[in-house]
Amino acid sequence: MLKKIPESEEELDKIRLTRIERYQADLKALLQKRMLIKKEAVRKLEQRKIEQLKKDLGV
Amino acid sequence: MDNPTFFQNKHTENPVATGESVNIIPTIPETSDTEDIRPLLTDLKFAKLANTESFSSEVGQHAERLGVGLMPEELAELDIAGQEITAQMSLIELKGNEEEYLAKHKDRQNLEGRYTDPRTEPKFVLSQVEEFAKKAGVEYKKIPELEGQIYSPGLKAIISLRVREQITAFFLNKETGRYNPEKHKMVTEQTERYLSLLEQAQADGDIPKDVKAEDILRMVEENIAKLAFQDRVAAENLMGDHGIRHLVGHNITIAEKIFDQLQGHGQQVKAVDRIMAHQVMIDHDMGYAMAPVRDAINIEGVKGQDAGHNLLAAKFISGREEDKNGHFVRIFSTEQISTIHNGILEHDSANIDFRVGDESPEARRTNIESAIHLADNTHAFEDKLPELLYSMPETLETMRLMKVAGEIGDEALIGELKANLIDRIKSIDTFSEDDKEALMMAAQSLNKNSFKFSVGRICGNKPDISIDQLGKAHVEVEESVIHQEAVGLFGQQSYDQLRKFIADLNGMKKEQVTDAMMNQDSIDTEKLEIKLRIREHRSGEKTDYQERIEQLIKNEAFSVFAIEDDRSGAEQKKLESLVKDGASQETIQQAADLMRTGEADTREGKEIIQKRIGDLKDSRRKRLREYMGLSIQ
Repeated sequence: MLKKIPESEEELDKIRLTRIERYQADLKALLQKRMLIKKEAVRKLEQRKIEQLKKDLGV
Repeated sequence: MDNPTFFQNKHTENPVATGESVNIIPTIPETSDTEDIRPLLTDLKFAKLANTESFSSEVGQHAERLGVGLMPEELAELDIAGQEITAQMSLIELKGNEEEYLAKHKDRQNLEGRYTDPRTEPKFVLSQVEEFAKKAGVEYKKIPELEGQIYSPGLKAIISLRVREQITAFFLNKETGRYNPEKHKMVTEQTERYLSLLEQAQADGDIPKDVKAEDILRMVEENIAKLAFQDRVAAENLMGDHGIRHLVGHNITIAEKIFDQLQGHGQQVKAVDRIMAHQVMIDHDMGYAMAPVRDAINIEGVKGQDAGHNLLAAKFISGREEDKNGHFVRIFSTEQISTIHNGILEHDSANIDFRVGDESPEARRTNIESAIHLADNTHAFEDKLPELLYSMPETLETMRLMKVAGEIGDEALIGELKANLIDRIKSIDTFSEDDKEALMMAAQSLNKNSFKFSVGRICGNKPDISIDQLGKAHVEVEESVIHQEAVGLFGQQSYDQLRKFIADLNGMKKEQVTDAMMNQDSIDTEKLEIKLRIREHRSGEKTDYQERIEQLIKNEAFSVFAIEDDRSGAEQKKLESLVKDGASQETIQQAADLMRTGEADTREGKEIIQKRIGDLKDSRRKRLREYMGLSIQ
């Protein structure tokens, strides 16, 4: 069963804005995801550095 | 570029690179006005710029600073995550471009409605294409030899064999498909070329070296079915052709020719560039074949339902990008899909800017886009005629007779003329049943004004196109020897389609093409020259189609009928405009005085004119019925 096709200009504008908002939200989520992945990788590196320093210092 | 907010953020301070919180997304305004949403669209349009640097490179800088590293599997994991994010951002970019197109063309009647119509969803469109293929007896079965195999020359031969069977089922099938040896040949050659280009692009590393043969098979099968489907839909109506003649016969052929010339001047053109151009051409007019456009045209006639068809075709491509398990994304990179998407969205642009001696990726992309625009905008004449008129030139006669029937207001005769044409279609045994069905639909949609949108195309044939060593495009158009006769038959102006051709190529309106421009030998701009070989400069050679039209026009009975009717028609039109356009009493009186039977004739001027119009209609009806071999009532 196909969805009802919207007819009024206002209805169409509303759908359009919702769509753009969704893309914006997706973009924001992707940027945050990217940042978290990178932070996690850097955290791993720093942890590794600390372990290496501890080892070097015999702590 | 109008204030690209994301672009500015990217270059002033990249929040991703600095690891700060992401606050670049502006607040959504409450109104949906185009100006207000522009910054939002720009964010989407430049989404991918947030992800230009790879994770491994960014993290590598930290690793170097700290003097420690990540394990290879950790790096690989990062790369996969990075690729996924790139693909998703690329999709947002495509959607942003579609929204921008929509914002720019909001005035095109109900384009938003068609864009959001579920029947323009790629899955729905593909199901229609498959249903059409099934009717022609085409079934998509796996080939055991291809299973799990990488595409290679040996497997190309197997794929070629399989798809040739399908092309035959679509185009040489009198029982359940179409029958057209010319189109069969065009699609076979295009498919072979496409398969060879894929092989070359694979060797160049421009499509994955390990691309699966099964994905190539699916891609080619789908392309063939889409071409056949669009050709069927195009045959159902009276718009300029959007079937095989347009998609393959002109657009792909011309794009390839342009690439050959660029290459001849030493400009790099890669096999993948040609593949992308093929793909754009195969898909660029899919919007016409989608149900909300196709059905509306078939029911109501052509009334602008096709406006913005670019957007619907582009939606079809972004849908493929969205399908992460589909063959399309396994063959094309996100960047290539973006080129294809944009090529489709802007396929009718007048932007022509060929680059020679420029090895940058941007130059290659600009050349692909310019080739698409030049090819699409130069298909305007004889072989762009609707299928009904192209496969049955005698439709021109029906259109001429229908013009008379329409002008005298005789609906019964219009019906009779349609019925005669339909009988003629049914009797032609070189058509398959499906061809007949499509052409009968087109014949049903004929009306007294149909000639206005077609006859002008009998103006010239294939233009000559060349690119010089500086990248300037030269287009030479020659007037058809039967142009004057064809337009004269319908009382149309000469060179009207040629004006449209010049306007489309220069991004102008037809009305802006002046007589002075038409009187020049060439219309010359920085990147494009259009040479006109019209009037005494035409060569006089005729195409097969022109020969057939000439036979029709020069048929004595028809030409006598047309000449006589033309006189009555012109007088009728003049008198009707006097009455209809509210001419002054004096003008009406003067005209009526010429028709008075004598001094005793004291009728009102308007009454005399109405009587004359009635008499003219009667004599035209009588002549038309006589010509059609009907009894004179």
